[in-house]
Amino acid sequence: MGKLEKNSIVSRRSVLSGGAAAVGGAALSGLATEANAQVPTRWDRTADLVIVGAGVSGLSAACEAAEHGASVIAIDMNFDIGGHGIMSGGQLHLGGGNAHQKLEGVTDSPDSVFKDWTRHDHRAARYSDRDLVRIFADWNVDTYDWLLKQGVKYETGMQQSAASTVPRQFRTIEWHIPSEVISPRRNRNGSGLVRPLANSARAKGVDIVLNTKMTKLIREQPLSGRVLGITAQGPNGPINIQARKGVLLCTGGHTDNVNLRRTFDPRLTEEYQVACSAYSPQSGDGEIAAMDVGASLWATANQTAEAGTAITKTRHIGCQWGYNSLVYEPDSPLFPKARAMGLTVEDFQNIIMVKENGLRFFDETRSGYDFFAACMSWSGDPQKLNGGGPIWAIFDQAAVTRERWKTEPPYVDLSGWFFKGDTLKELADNIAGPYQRRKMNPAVLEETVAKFNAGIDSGKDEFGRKALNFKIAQPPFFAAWTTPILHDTLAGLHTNTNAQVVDRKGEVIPALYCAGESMGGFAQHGLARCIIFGRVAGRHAATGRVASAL
Amino acid sequence: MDEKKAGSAIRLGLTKAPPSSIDAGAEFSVSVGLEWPGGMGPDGATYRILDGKKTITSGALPKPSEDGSVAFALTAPASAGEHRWLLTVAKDENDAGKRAEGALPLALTIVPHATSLAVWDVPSPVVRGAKFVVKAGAKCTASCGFGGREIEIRDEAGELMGSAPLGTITWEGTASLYWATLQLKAPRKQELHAWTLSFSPSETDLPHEGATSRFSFVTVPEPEHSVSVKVVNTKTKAPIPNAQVRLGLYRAVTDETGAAKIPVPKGKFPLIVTRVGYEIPERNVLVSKDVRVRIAAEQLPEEDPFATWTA
Repeated sequence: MGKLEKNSIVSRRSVLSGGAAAVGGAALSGLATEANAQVPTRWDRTADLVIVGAGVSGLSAACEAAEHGASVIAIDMNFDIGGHGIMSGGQLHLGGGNAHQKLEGVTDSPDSVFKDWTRHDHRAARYSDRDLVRIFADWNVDTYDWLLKQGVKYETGMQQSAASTVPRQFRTIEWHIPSEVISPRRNRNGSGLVRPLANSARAKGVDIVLNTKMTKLIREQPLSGRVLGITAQGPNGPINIQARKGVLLCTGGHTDNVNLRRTFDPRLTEEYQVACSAYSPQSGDGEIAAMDVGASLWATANQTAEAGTAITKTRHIGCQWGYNSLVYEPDSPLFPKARAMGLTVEDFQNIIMVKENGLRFFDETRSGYDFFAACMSWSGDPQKLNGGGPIWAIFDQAAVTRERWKTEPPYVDLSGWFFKGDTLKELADNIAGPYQRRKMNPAVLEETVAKFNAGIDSGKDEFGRKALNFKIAQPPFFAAWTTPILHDTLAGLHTNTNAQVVDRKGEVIPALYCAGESMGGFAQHGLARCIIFGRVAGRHAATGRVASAL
Repeated sequence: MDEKKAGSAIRLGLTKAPPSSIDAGAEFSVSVGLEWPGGMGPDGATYRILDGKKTITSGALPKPSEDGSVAFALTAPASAGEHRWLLTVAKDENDAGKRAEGALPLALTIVPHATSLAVWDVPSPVVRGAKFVVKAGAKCTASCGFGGREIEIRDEAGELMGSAPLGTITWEGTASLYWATLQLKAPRKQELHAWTLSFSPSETDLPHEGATSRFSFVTVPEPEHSVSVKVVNTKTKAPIPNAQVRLGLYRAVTDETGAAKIPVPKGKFPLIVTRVGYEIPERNVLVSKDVRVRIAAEQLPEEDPFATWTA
């Protein structure tokens, strides 16, 4: 295993010349002055592999690289490890004929994994890069065993889901130390993946540095040469970390970055919720830093393929972040940021949804991409043509009684995400959330509800809703934030099958890797692709061996 | 320095104007910046606010804030309309015999309090010609008490169908919604009715705007038979309580035994049963006598957010 070196001072010249004999000033002038300026005169830390992001892909890469003799520094902007993975349900999508499948009586093979995840008749598979899927398929069985060796434990049982034609999905067991779970407690088992990986990595000598955020990648020249390291902002100021063998970007997705997410879909303006923002914001740092040194994006069709959980319906309303399976209890370390648990909707016929203008727009009991498209359709605000603006669930006291909701903190967030009124007019007057750009016209809301209620009488709904049983009539009345939630990042940086980042000309950027949600090309939801391509990157950076030679 | 000039005028300007419209009788505030003649300051100054010749309020000038402006907490006039007040500030400096004064007009737009309404517990469908009751309430934006004020309900033609005085206790869960129960009689004509609740508060201490609110119900013929619906789990045959049953215009919810009984006239009715977590086929029910309908509801697998990919 390599040894970490601290405070190694490396002269700019020796870095640029690769340690070769002194180069004269004339020769150096071939490197633009501007380019030289980006290479630091001092490296504060040095390791073989520098990993940006200690989530699922970063920790997997760290373990794999350390196992193959590399020294590793992994930084994370957060106060703890895990990223999105620790917030997840711990669902792994691994098949290929692994031991778990054999136990469950499932017949599978790497070829079947490849065929399923390149299916032309499934939107989650149709647009993926088949070279990447082939590597993924070939690493499935080995990765199942490898995770066990890292200390990960699995629940029994297996489900079939997504593009897979046989059961391949199973869960990790939640980490046994409650204070280290971080995520809300209900059904969130991802801690059982990332904690063992982090412990395994540390045991192998990996240095995990928290509260440290990459600010830029350092490449020999702006758009050419090797990637030499990174600059990061740590608790004590900026530091330069040199990477002898490579920098691996595992920064997660881009869904919290409004500008970057709109690269893929201009409708995704600022008002949309993002799953897990209370812990692991998906800032797109990796993609942006890589693009700054010439990287390109890949398989962007995956982001807008309208399959799976790229966008989801809000399940917990009246709080800023109401992702389906995330409820932030008051004793959660994340509650101060999340601020409310939300009102969990059991039956969507208890509400109607209106836009900022007070008008309904779709059958509220439905979900899916037609529903989301209607949510994001133009509200009529002449100053805001993209995005659909806020979506409010409107309901009455009778609905509160049926759902057994408690319309007070900590269930609801009164700082702009939940409102109450004795009458519908008062309710409309009170709505003033951060994205409510225009005042809701009370007369419009009153008319919307009167029309809906008349539909309950007649059995005919203007949006074809069939569940017509409850009027909105009994005071008081409520408005709860229910704007759709962005979740999966399914498109990102262009890499080859060794997880090496590829530039705009289709050429590898030497010593730059990417894995996880910041990597493009493979649209599978969840953890498995992050683990596998983290391993691929870690292995290649450490050994130089190509991924296909597993 | 010219002492006479310097001692003559205090210059006043609004740093926070009054709201563009103010509820009659409501509290509001304005802030005023003051420029004092040479050598003078706010200590010992007085103010007066006049409506014509009538003094609204007066006293020692409030202590200026850090930026030097002075805030006045005021109560709006009780009558709606445009009001022109005059703020005057004065200061005597006895030792020098000097007096300084300044004035600033305050234009106020006073509006009646807005009111709004709610109608609830409206049964629907209602048998034609039958008596029924609804609840209705009225709310003032400034939470004025409406107890004893009359509310009324009129039909589409404007005919008075019922009226009642609002009670003195507010509806549970509301801040200040005053309410009443109204006795009504359904029309003979079978159709969707849209009636109007109206409220025109008069003889209140402060002016109020009236309000109207539309509500609907549907009238149906007298029942002749009943439809007994029983909803059970397809596989386990267990009864499903709390399933919503919609039979044409009629609505019901199943009880603990999965049953709901609906009185209906003869006819053919579409039956839609909904219950979260179940898929329940729609069907038509022909009623020429009492009918029993057994509905099999197929339980859907528990929703797994990580398995929601669709082709």
